[in-house]
Amino acid sequence: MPQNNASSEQFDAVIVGAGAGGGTAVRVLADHGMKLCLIEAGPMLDPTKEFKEHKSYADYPHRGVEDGGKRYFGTGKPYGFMTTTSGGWTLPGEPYTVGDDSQFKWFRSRIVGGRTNHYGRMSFRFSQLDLKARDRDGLGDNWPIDYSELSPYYDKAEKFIGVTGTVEGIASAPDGIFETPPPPQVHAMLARETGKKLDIPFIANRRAVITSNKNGRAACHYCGECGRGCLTASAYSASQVDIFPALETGRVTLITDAMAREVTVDSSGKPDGVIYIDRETRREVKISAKAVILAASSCESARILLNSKSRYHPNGLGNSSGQVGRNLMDTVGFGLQGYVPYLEGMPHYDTSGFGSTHLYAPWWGWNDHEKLGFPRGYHIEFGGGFRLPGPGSFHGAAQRHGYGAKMKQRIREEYGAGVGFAGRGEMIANDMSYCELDSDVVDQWGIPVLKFHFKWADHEWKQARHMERTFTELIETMGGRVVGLRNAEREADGISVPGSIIHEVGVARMGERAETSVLNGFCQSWDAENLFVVDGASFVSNPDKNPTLTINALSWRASDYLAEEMRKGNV
Amino acid sequence: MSSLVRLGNPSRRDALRSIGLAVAVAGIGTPIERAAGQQVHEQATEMKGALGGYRRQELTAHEWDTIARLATLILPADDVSGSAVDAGAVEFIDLLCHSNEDLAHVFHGGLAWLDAEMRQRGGTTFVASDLESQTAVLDEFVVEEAKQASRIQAAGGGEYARFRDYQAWDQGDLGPGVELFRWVRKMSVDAFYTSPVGLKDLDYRGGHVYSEYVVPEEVIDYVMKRSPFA
Repeated sequence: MPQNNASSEQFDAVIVGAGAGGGTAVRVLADHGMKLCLIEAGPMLDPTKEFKEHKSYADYPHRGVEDGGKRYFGTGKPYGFMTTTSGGWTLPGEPYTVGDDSQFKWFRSRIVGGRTNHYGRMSFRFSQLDLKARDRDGLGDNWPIDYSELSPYYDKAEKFIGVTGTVEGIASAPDGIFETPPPPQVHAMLARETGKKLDIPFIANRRAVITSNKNGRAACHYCGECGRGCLTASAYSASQVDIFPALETGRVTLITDAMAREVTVDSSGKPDGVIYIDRETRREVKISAKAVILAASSCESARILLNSKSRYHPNGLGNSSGQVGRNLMDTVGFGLQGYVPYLEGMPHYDTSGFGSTHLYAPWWGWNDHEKLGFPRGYHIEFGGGFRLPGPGSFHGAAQRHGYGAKMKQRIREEYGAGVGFAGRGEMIANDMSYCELDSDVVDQWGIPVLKFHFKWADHEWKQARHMERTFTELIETMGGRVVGLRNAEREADGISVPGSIIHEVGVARMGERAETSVLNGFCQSWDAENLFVVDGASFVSNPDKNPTLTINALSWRASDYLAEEMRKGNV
Repeated sequence: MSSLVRLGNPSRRDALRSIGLAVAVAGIGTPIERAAGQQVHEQATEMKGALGGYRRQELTAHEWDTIARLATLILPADDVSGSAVDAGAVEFIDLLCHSNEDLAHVFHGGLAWLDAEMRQRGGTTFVASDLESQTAVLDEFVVEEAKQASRIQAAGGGEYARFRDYQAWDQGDLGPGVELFRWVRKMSVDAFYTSPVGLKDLDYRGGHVYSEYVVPEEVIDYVMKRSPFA
């Protein structure tokens, strides 16, 4: 089948995907002395070229509206011109399809480091309440691992990556090993005071940003532009923090622009490597390895498994349970914007900080779900301050105030007086939300594409309405008024469009039993002991905690396990 | 062929060194200038130097002058800062029109409509009209815009409804003028607030790097005293 062997080299492991999961795996396994091949669907990252940190909009004649005024026509870069993403909601020549009656958006980033180059860096530990939530409400499934098994790897990940925070002793938000967080901006202090009135705890945000020098990385310099990529790697990215150092060990071969198509198996049905399509020559190349580690992003890993069909694995590799692609989850999102009149006239200062809210509210109602009428919680993020104006920042204000000296004056006065609250909530896996291969469509590499099906259930809708009431209460108690939706899209503007929070996980879940899950608690396939999936696909549930830190921890744990099993000769 | 990369990226270390060094030399909480070669956001230098070399590409000289007049009316100079024209709004509009036919069409057509309307009213073009006639028509656009917005609101739509129900937006005799006005305003506002002129107007304080993040006590006092939590 392979047309062209890249080399006759035999690797200890081939890792597909250079994001949070793949980056962690390649670094940990290289430290274990293994000989590795890392393949990435996109190009190499050069932070000095790719990251627009410390650039001004005025540096660009198009002022961030992009060539041809793309932003004005809805075709600009997602999250704005300055963000460092190489990907987006659509990729040329690489479609996906969505079933009737479903909405789903899939954000793909093809570059070394993947989405970690620009992500929000919110880093929250799952708690025992999260891992065994079924024990409390009978919904979804429990994880096969306990917090006590995961916690040492959260420790390792936090120590290595660097995560800010304070020790709080809140059951829904386990404490970790923290970098000193920066002090709250004034709007954050207001949120904290408001929260006290409403019994909502606002605590130091936990973000993957170092505030002291660490492993050759400089402490945060508080420019507030983490979303553009961090030149000093003070904000974590898998590219700068995991992959570049791993490459320096000399044990890692990185192949970029390599679009993985399938995991190959030997004459006994055991995985023995990966076939990828070279994006430049369009030729097939096979990489041979003793172990295969998928970290292509949750749904992409599921797609590779489903496309790895052989006479041994007719439904796709690792899919004897039929669970590959099932249990697709995103995070529930809803937000409101407020206006706080007494903030007008506040002396101006630099509110950039470390690029995001300095405080957040972990879920506070874990004992009240029966009374609340929805089963799982959410955390609150919020924003405010004197933000860097960009294209579109004042379109709404201009429309409110007409034109002329008065408009200019009002924009000046209102600047810095807005606040925004956003909820990020847990969704419970359901039978209506999954992905599968679309038998009618292939991408430009000839690889069958995914078709998505998705439905929020009542649990999620009720949770979103609770967010709406809570944020209204917060804004009004603060002395402000609600002015509109934050990041309104559709799903009738009452809940985020599925996939749009970019926490899509769970399509190759781990579990206690091979009959009902794809992986065991070490992210190892039940069907093949040398096959691992170390991205978000292994998630059994999707707590209100942003997934990256848990991907780091699970990938680290799986990598240690694989190294040990190989040492023992079990793999 | 795919690129085989085995080494780390040396430029990362250079970037790290330059900013790390800058942070190390400055005192705690002291703003530090950006690393060499990087633009400093907060320097409110006039943009005239940067714009000096711009050559008109898409608009006629008359269209250019008309947009300049509109942009000045929309964001005039005052004792705090300059105007949208000072911030490069006309260059910005010309540049984007030159690279997008649809956008160019909005401006060419809209400006021609505006002159025709002004001729009907007072016998001359928009630019040649007196200030009173110019602001009179802009005031009408604002009123019409508000009416259109409330029609959409009544039909149950928000900002997004505009795209789903374009006809509803486009009604009214002044429709083409409102459309032009909205585009000039939107782009003038963007050009202004993304420029050093606009950042100065807003007294934007970001764009520094620090060794430690500090919130000034006077701001905390100001806000907390006025808050419900005083």
